[in-house]
Order: sequence, then C-alpha cells, then structure tokens
Amino acid sequence: MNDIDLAQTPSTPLVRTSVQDGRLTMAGDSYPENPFEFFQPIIDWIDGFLAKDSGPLACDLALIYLNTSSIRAMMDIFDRLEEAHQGGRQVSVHWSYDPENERVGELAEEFKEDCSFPFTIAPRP
Amino acid sequence: MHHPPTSSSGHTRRQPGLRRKIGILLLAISVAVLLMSAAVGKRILHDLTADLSRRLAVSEAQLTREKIQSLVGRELAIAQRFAGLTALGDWLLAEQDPLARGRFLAEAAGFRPAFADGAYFVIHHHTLAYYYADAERPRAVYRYTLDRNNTGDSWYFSTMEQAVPYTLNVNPDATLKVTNLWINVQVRNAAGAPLGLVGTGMRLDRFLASMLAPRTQGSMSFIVDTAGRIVAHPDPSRIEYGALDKQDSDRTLFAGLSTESGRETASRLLAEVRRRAGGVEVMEQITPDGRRMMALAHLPELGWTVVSSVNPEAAEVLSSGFIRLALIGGGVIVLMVILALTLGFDRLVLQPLLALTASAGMIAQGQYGIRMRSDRDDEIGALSQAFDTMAAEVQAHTEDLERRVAERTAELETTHATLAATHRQLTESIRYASLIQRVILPDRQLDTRMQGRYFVVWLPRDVVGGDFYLYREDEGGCLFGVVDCAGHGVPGAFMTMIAHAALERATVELGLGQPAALLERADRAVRDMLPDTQRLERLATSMDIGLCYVERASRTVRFAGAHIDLFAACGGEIRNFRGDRGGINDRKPRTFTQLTLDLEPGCVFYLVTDGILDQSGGGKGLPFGRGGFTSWLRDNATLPLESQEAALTGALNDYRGEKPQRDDITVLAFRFDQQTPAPTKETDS
Repeated sequence: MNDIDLAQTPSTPLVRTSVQDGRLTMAGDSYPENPFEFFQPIIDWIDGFLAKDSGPLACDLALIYLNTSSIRAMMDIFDRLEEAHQGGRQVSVHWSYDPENERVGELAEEFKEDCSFPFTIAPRP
Repeated sequence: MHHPPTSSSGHTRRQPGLRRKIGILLLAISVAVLLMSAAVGKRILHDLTADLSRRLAVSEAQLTREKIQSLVGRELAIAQRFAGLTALGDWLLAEQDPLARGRFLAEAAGFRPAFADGAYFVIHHHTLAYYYADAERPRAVYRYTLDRNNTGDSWYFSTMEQAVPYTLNVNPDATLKVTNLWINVQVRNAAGAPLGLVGTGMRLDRFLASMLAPRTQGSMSFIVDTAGRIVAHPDPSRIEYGALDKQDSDRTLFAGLSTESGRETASRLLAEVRRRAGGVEVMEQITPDGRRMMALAHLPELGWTVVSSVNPEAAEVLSSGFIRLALIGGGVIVLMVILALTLGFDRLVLQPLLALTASAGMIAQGQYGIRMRSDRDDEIGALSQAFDTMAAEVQAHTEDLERRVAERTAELETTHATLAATHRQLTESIRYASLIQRVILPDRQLDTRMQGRYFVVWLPRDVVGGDFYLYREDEGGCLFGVVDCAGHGVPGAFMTMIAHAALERATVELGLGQPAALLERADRAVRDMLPDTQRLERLATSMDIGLCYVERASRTVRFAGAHIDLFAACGGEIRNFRGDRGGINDRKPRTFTQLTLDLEPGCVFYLVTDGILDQSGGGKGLPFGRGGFTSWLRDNATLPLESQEAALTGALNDYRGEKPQRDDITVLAFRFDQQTPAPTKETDS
C-alpha cells in the first residue's frame, strides 16, 4: 500500500504517512473546498494500515484550524482509532499546538473527550 | 569595422567601409590604367608616328626617284629620237657635206628647245669632230676634235667601246661647283658599226635643287653615290664634288650618322638597294639632330641613291587635331572603362552585399519574407542562396512558432472565454442564489420591530453561505437565532434551506418559547430530511444553532446553543454563556441545555457563529478567538448598536489584514432597555 505525502497549502494541511514507522503526520490549516475528497485517501490509508498490520499507529498532529467538515473527518479518524484501541491495537495521538491559539486547544480537548486511547495535547514550547 | 545596428530606414544607414575601400581601389586602378593608357597611347602614337614617318620617307624617296627618272627619261627619250634622225645619220656619214649638215641643222633646230637645257652635242666617230648647240648658239657649231691621247677625251673612247644604246654620265665639277649630267646616245649603222655619239647635257644641280627642296616640314631628300658621298643636296655646302677616294669627307651619308651600327646599317642597305633596283629600303637612324627615318631609293641609270630623311618630331605626320581626337577618345574610353568597372563592381559585388546587409537588418527586425533570388553562379550568388535558405528556414521556424503560438493563444483564448463565460454564469447564478438566500433573512421585520435595538453583521465568505439568522415574534416575545451550517458557499447555502425548513417545522409545532426543545425538534426534522445513508456518512451536514427567546412578561432571556455561545455585555461586564458541545444533525441525536437569564436594562446580547472566532489574522496569524471578541466587547459594547456594527466590521478587517476570510461570519446583537418588544402581530401584507 502506498504512503501519502502531501505538501501543505493555504487550505489543506501537510499529510505524511509511513507504513514502516506506523505513523501519520498532519500539520497546518484544514478547510479544503471538497473535504470528502481530501480526507478519503487518509481514512483509506488508516483503514488499510489497521487491517493489514499489527504494529502500533502513532498520529502526530499540529493542526491549527479545522472547518466543520474537517472536524467531522477527524472525528471519523478518531472513531477508527478508538475501535482499533478497543480491539487491543496500540494507537496514540500527540497534538501539539501554539498555546496562544485557544481555539485549537479547545478543539483538541473536545476531540480527546471521546477517546480512551493515549491522547496527549502539548503546548509547543 | 563593426557598426551597431542602425535605424530601420535604409537610406540613413551608414555605408559600410567596403564601398569606400573599393572606391579607393578603383581610383588607384583607374590612375594606373590612365598612366598605362598614357604610356601605351604615347607608345602607339610613337609607333604610329614612326610608321607614318617611315611611309613618308619611303614616299618621299620614291617620288624624288620618280621625278629624277622621269626627267632623265624624258631627256633620254628626246635624245634617242634625236639620235634616230635620218638627217643625223646622213650627216654623220658625211660631216663635210653641207647639204647633209644643213638638213640636220634644220631638223635639229626643232629638237634643241625640247632638251632641258636647250643644248645638244654631236660627235662624229670618223672625224672625232665635236659639235655643240645651246641657247646662245642655237645652230650647232664645231668646237673641237677629240684626241685619243687626251685623258679629258678618254670618256668618249671608253664609251664607244661597248655597243650600248646610251650612257648617262654624271660629271661633278669641283671648280665650278656644278654637277652636269650627260646623256650619250650611240649612233650605229645597221651592221653595228659606230657612226657617232649624240646627246645632251644638263645642269643637274639646278633641277635637283628644285626637286630636293623640302616639300613637307621635317623631311628632306638628298642623293648619294655608291660610296655614300653626297652628290646632290638642298644645301650646296653639303655636296661633295671631290674625288672618289676622299674618304675622310664629311659630305657623306655616313658623316651624318651618330652611331657605328647605324653607319653599318646604312652601308648594308645602300648595297642592298643597289642590288634590288626599284625597291626602297628604310632605316631608323640617330643623327646629331635627333631621330630620323631614312628611305633609300636607287637610281640605277645614274648610279645614285636618293635618301629621304624624315624627322618624326617635326614632320606633321599626325595632325594635331588627330592627336587631340586620339587623346580625347582615349581618355573617354579609359573613363568609360573605369565607370564600367565601378558600376560593374557596384552591381556585381557591392549592391548584392548591401542588399544582403539590408536583408540581414530586416531579418534582425523580424521581417523574414525577404529573398535575394540570385541566379548567379559565383560566390555572391552562393552567399545569396545560402542567405535565402537561412531566411526561409528562419521564416519557416518563425511562422511555425507563430502558428503554434497563435494556436495556443487561440486555445487559451477559447479556454479563457469558456472559463470567463462559466465564471460569469456561476457568478450570476450565485448572485441570484444570494438574492434567494436573502429572502429568508428577517431584515424587514427586524428593521420594523427592533429599530435601533439590534445590529447584524452577516458576511458570507462566497456571496452565498452556510450562515443565516432568524427572528420570530409571538404574543409573549420574540425569538432571535443564528445558524451556521457545515460548509460555506453553495453547499452551505443548500444546508441553510434545510436548516430553515427544519426550524420552521419546529417553531410551527412547538411555538417559540422553548429554545432547547426547538433545537431538539429541529435536529429530528433535519435527520428526517437527510436520511442517514452510507453515502452521507462522511458528508458534514451538521449545523450549529444558537437561539434566544426574549419573554416580555418575565423579562427573561432563554438561551440554548448547539455549538453556539451567547455573549452578554452588561455595564462593562462581559459574560460568555457556552452552548452545548454537539451540533444539530451531528453523529448522534442529543438533548440541549436551556439557560434562563434576566433581561437587564443596558445589557446587549450577542449571538455569534464561529466564523468570527476562527478568523485568523493579527501579527501571528492566530484566530480572533473568544479572547479577541471579548476584548472588543469591552471596548465597544456601550456604543450605540448602529455604531457597533461598523466598529465590529472595521475591527475584523483590521485584524484580518491580508488574510482571506476563512468562513462565513454572523453576529446578531440585540438589547431591550425600557421597552420590551411590542406584542403587536405583524399584519401580513
């Protein structure tokens, strides 16, 4: 299965996956014109990875702004992680943010509330 | 020499140096040609002069010889007729016969004047008596008798020894400085026995002087004997009357010649012309007076040779007019040759080169249609053809490029036109959609009912948007609401219609008073309208709604928020009431919390969607946030609401700066001070 490597744009975040390292990295703003198309490959990759392997999956997130559709897509992603975690799979999320950006801090906290797997929110030093 | 490209006007173009160089070269060639022509012309003139001088000398010599010969021949003919007189024969047989002598004298009287000097002589062979008649004594008289022993008379005896018809005897007299020519005709009988000698004598020098008198300038004739001594000359002082053995005499042909080889030539030709009687020999000689053409013509009767000498410089063999004509003609020819050379070179080399240069210049300016079309088979032809090929190549490439560019441009223009048309269509469509969207906005009611007690900032990101606000009234009060549907632009606008319909259904069923119940009912209505199919699973169709019902009687505000906050600014204190976390048509149906607040005078309530809170900007590009909005409220909440609208819009623009608007923005603010909303039902028009 192919890894994803998308550069950051004004309206879409950097997206990088690594099957080898069991890692998903996302950083930047996310308000794509067509959120469904943008997130579908990422969700497919997570589904593929979780189905294929037994290795841990770590998500490094440094997302700044997400529009409603992106929030919905992230919820889908966390739902999948939660499901895998319930199935005994090792998954984790690390979300780093600018402490001056209260909005994204709140958002990360809201995401975390629905998740029982390791979910750390760290202000960037 | 390199010239930078000049202006396009060809005639102001500086001529390249080649033309100047060629001009100089041609001038040099012309001068050389002129000099050579002059030399050649001079040579031709010289040769022509020499040739003409030679001919003149020859004709002079021949003419002189002819004259002498005709003179002498005439005398000889008369003398021979004279000798043939019967009366003479009779008298020679009988000298003393008076009758015979009388008859002879009578006949001879008719002959004597015919002789040049009017003189004749008769010598009787038998008696050796010598008779002589001349102008003084017209009748012949006896003079003397010849004596065999007298050397002075020996000539007669030696003459008569040989039976020849006649002899000529030139007798120069050194004493008298005269030259006499004696014509002696022998008279013999039928058996050939000598009877006597008759003849005439003439003063040759007299005739010769007239004959040799120069007829043309620069030419003169004189006569020499076999030894080259001058026997007749226009200048008597040059005549040698002396003996044959006077070799040191300067009165010879040879004395007048400057070079030894010339003297040898003269000697050789003198012998040659004697051997070939009738011929003329010519030689060029150097004399102390200069170059001379000399022609030799022999007089065998006299043993003399006529020498005609012509001075080519002095003799006007060529008339000055002819020379002038020749010079002018030659000059004209040379000039024409130079002109032809210049023009030819110009035409053959310079013009094609200049044309090539001009063409290259035109090509440099991008005019590739130029063609030399030279059919010459020389280097310039080859150059022109190469140039043509290059120009054609460049033209072909350029045309190809231009064609391709034109095609691309046309494609682009078509695409652009299509895009522009599409864009215009979309824009118009969206602008029209915006008109429709605005129909659901309660601006007229708000204006009518809440004049001065509310403001709205409604900024859809893309003309139409997913945000809208609502206002309803019933007997007990009024409902304010802001709605933020997921997405923005056209998709968001679609959702607003669904949200509007859902809220309409909820308010129709439940009335306006209980905001939380309205949210729950609206949630159900949306779920009914949007079946939760697999296909919709990941489409964001949620909506954030904030509702405030203001109840007149209790002077309270009931607030419920689905992911929407209420801000209240009361006398400098800013309060932020958080709505519930989930939205309408979120993943799971849920219940909503309702807050009841006192409607305090001086309080301003603000319902905001997240567009304003999430708008990035400022120094670090961070969201405006709750903090940003709260601090703005602190500074502006006490202003009149009409001013607050402009202030908020201004503050937002200042914060946003160059950053684009991120989402639809809606702020609905209201206040109730003394007056509560009037319970009057709107009369529908």
